[in-house]
Amino acid sequence: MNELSPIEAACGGPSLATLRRYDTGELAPADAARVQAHVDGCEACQAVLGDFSAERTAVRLEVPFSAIEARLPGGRALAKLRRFSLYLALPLIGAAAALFLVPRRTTNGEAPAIRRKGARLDYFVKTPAGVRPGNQFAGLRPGDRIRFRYDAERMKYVLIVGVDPDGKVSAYAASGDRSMRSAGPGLNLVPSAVTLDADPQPERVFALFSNEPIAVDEIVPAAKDALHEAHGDVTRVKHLPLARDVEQATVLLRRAP
Amino acid sequence: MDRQNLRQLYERYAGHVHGRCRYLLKDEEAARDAVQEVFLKALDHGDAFRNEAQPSTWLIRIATNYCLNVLRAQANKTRQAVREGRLEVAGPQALWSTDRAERRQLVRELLEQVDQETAAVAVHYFVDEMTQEEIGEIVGRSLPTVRKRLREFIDAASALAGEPPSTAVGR
Repeated sequence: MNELSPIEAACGGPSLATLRRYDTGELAPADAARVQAHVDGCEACQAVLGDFSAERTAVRLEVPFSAIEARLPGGRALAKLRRFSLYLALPLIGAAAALFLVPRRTTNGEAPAIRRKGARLDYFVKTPAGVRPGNQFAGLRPGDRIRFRYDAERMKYVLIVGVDPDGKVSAYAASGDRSMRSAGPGLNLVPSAVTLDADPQPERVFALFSNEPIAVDEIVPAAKDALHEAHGDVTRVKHLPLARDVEQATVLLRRAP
Repeated sequence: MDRQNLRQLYERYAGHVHGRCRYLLKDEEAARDAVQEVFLKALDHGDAFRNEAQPSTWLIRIATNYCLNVLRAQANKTRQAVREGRLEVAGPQALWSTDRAERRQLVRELLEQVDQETAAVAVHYFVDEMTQEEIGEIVGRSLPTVRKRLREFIDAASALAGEPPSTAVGR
């Protein structure tokens, strides 16, 4: 019988199951360090971990813990939980030991966002069915409402712009015609959501983080250059060639077929 | 204290469970219900949990089985689409695509063509990228059985793509 070839991601990095265990702090410290070393240099795996983080926030919004508590029959199920509480504690202790090797967690119960070097951008999608995290696998539809979320790290300003395949630049988070002040460290939702129109083309969205405000007009020629370099394929544009020192994070908005 | 433990379990793993349920059920409301069901089942199986060194794998297995059960209980929309010629799927080689999105989509299209155990093995292999040994451990089957299920899944992919069975095993 022939052997089945193992499944591998394009980056040749850890399996999805291993990334999940890394994300939840289940890996041994040495394994977690290996995964982290790979993730630090791998955009694809960073995107997967970003999806995990966004999914965590979405589930808190959509399925609050109180909804599960309400379905527990009296205290019976909780009494059962008591029996394995020690076993639950063991991996948590292990995770605490690996705290400096795995994604850091906030202390206020908020989403344990993956925090690596550099800033980040992700988004949530509101549809008639509810709110879900945006991710690279699920297409978007006209009428969906998109709300971006960013982490500016220590940068003072953020500008979120979209670039379509025609080189048209749209500002999604700005103060007038330039960058807005970051709301501070950690993950921040932008003040308002945008509603998708019927344009079926993909759109590349950039968050540009800087210590001085950037004018939207400055982005237009950079977007054109980047598109030209990518032969007009906006999905391949990963970076805007800006003259000044700007940290960038990007997501791709794809329409559902 | 007990509530706190349940909350810890939920806060750490609910996102992953939600992601699996959304992928398999393709319905936001059904996925939300499924998350609740999975955590209630986790409570009911607290004794099994005590031996788990990888709670995420354990919860993902419960979520996968729960959602595949839900899919089985629904009308077989995919089969109907195949009969009516409305569904075109890529050949089985795409199961080894290095593009995770492409692989996930193809696997999802095929799940309703196979029995539940084969579907679960395929999801753990092609989506979670687990080794056959890891899958054997979590589904409680021998390595030859895991391989057999994978071949059945690949054959189902071949059949849907109009190719002879087992023309492509691996890359």
